[in-house]
Amino acid sequence: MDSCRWEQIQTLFHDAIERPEHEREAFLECACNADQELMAEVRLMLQADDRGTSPLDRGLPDLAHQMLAACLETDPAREFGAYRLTRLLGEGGMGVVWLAERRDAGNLVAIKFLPHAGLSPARRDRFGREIKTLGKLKHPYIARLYDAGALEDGTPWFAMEYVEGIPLGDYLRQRQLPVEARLKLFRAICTAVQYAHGQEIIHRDLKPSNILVEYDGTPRLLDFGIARELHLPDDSPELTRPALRFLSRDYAAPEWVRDGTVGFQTDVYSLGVILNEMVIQPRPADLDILCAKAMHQDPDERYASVEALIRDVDHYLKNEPLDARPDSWTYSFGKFVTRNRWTVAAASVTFTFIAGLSIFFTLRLAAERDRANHETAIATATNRFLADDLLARTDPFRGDNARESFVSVVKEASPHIDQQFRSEPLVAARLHQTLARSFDNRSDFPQARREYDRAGQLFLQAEGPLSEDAIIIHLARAQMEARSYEKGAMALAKSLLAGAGSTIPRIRSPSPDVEIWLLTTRGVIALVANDARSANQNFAAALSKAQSSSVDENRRRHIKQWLAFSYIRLGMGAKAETLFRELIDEYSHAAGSESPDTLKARINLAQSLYGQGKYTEAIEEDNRIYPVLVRKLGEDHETTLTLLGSRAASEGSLGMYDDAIRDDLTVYRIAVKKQGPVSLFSIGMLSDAAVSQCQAGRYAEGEANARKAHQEAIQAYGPRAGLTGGTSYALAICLIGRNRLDEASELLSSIDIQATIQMSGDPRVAASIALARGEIAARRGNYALAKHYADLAAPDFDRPGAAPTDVRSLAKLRNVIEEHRVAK
Amino acid sequence: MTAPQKVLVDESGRIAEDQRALDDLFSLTYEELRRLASLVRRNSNRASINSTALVHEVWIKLKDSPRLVLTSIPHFKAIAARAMRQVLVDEARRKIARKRGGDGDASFVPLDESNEGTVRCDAELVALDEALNELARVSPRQAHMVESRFFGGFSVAETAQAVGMSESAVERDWRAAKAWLAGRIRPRYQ
Repeated sequence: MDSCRWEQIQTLFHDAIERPEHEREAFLECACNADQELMAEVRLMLQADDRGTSPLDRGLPDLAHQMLAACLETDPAREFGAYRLTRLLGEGGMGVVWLAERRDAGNLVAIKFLPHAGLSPARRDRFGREIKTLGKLKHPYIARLYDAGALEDGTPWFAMEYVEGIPLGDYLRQRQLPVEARLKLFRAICTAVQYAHGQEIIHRDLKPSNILVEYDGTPRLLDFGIARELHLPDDSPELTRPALRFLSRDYAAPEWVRDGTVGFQTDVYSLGVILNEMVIQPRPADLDILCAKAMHQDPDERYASVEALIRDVDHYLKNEPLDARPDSWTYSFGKFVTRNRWTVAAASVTFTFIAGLSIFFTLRLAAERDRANHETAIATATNRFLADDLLARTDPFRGDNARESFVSVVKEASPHIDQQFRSEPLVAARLHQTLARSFDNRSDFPQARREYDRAGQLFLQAEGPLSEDAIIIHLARAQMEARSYEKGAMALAKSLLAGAGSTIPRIRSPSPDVEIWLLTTRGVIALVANDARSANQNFAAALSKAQSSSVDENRRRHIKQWLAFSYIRLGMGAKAETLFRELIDEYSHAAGSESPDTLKARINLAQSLYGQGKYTEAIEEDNRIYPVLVRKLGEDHETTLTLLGSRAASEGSLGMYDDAIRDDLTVYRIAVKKQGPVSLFSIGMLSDAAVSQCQAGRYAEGEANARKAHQEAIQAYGPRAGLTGGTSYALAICLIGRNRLDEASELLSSIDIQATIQMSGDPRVAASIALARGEIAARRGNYALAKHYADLAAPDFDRPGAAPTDVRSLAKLRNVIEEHRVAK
Repeated sequence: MTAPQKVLVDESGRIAEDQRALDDLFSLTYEELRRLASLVRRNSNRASINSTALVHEVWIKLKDSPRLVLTSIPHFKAIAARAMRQVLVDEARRKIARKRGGDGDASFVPLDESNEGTVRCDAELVALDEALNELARVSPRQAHMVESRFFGGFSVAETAQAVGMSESAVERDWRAAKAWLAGRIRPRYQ
């Protein structure tokens, strides 16, 4: 047949089918012109066309079925070599697996064949590589290779351990395992993958159907069909990319699908997806974090190794903080006490709030800030307050067993760490680091030091003298020392900082993380050392670095928070306010408008408003936060009380005495009930209430309260204590109102101004005392002296943003002096 | 057996330059075909499995591949169709050869060879392949059309586009080729 002939045939065929059937034969007879062969050909075509039975009318699936599936039909008696095939276990594009019995030994094995190996060299290569890979792996959770060879027709095969189990997905469906059991199973799977990684083998096709679970719950990894050995050049990434395989893309890491990039993180991703399916919603938030970290789209954000993933699974199982959020100390802190998460989170709130500025126990001396001494005062106050008073005395855990569980968990955990993780020093180091952070956060400095030291040692041993982890530990320790405000601690902090600063340049390319730590530590130390400007510069640099590198969001926000504090110290309340508002937006977006972080930022915002003299706004903000705190923590929680005290300070500054008194007394009553009459809260609030009462002219109540607070302060803390100073001032104000000037004057003289500033965090103590003295002098008729005191107080109270009450008092004093001058 | 090279000879351009990529594509198609077969065997909904869906799925999996610089879906489909034809026909030939000479012990495939349908199918496929080759000699366009439609799941519209003809012309060509091929295959084995 040639083209011409074919055209002839087709033309005839088309002409014929257009005619009625009974006319076709006659047409052919005529048209073919006695060419019998031609006629037969067309006749045959017409028949086929009529019947519609051309093989081409059958679909491809049918053919494929007959051609390919048929070869899988079983022939149970089939034997080859030492094996007798028993039944088909599974099939797929990459081969078929049979259950077989060894004829000599009688044991069962699984045999995988690669049918039609010759069709593609690539397939054959891959099969050979799977055999090599399996041969290297000897692990209880990985099916072992026994034997390999080829049939006479060249079909390659290998025999491996037969696993009598069911796929992971089915197993989980059949057994209603609790979360903990699921996590343990997952952990076992991870150890097998980790082992393979240790052999430099990446599985690349981890998914539930490739993991069988035996009746006793032992998992077994199968199918290293596309596993890759790291030290071998990957001959063709295309060959094994999921796009080219029939891997479920659900389990394949995005970067691998995208551009063929393969690393340990490839398997970490798949494990993350598997875990995500093993522990379905609803589940604890920590598991969300864990899954999210493992399944992160960016491989650099994922757990760097299966070891790290296992570590966090262990943390979860032991109720310890996850490494997944290593930079969020609030989180580390809270995680220790899951039974009372909110209490602990709130303790963190209090902590930051205090570390930030905290003048809730204000002596209501004034509300604006001083440029020069203010920073010093607040820094000092903050630290002493934190170390000596607040954390020592106000106990956010009181009234429940959370403190016990926190302490006992931590103390029990520490000694076991080294033993349990002898072979994994990095795990042990991280654990010590976490413990250190937790102790640090609750100002248990001796314990924290021990843990930091141990973590540092382990990192140095494991990673060498230039270990970045060890440097970070040093820096964290330096920050803690600075904040501890213990004797000699500042010098130690500075020497730790200097040590880290001189080690970092020796690292060839230090990570942004370690540089950010260095800057932040410099900032913290500067802040504590009252160098707000330097602190501000360092925090700003740290923040800018954190923004340009891929640092954890929480860490970045944490730095931002520090930066905001430094602005407050610099007297740039507006800048602090902006930053806090940004933080509120960010935290709300990330964790909801009522998450501990968000609330923390909102409390800080209210404080920055107060610091700027924006009392009305501060009160409004307090009013918004208060119901949330009551709902989340209860109205008698320290953080709630702190907020109320803070609101009272703003109210007092605006002369809203009734409101201020109500709030102060509320806090006082609860504080007495919770902590007894002799506590910082109780005495401080009673004293604050007394000032408001006397300023409102309610001298009898005010004097009684002030006197009570004063006596208790002297008894508990001594005459020179800052707290005592505050109560002396309160009592003096009330006595002046009742014209008992000598006693008032004596009280004012007894105040240790520096200690009181430290205690209250308010730099206007001296100015307020001067104003009180001025009033005494005026009442005594000594107007020259009164003027002298008025002038002393003026710089603090003439400034814009000064508390209206103070402005009024000063104006009143000046009026009296002026009236006298005119009268004279 | 150098099946991929056969594909290579038939296709031109960048794809043909990359033997390895072609091998990938080939084994991919092959594996997909097996998967399809096993789906059919498991009594899945047969109607839902057709060569169009199959080739489309393979395309979806391949289209992001940078090394397979596939310029168009039709181009890819043409390769896939050829690969599928190759796979099926090779398999049919193997079966026939084994039936003739093999003792059965040396090769893997444990078929129940008495299955008449299968036997007929083997022979038909081989006959189809031969007939298609013959058709390609007198009308490469129609052979390509058959290959695309039957093995590649091209629709009439796609086929028309691929060969640059109207749809009605394609229908006409297809009907003639189909009838002719049927006539070539059936008489010998029926």
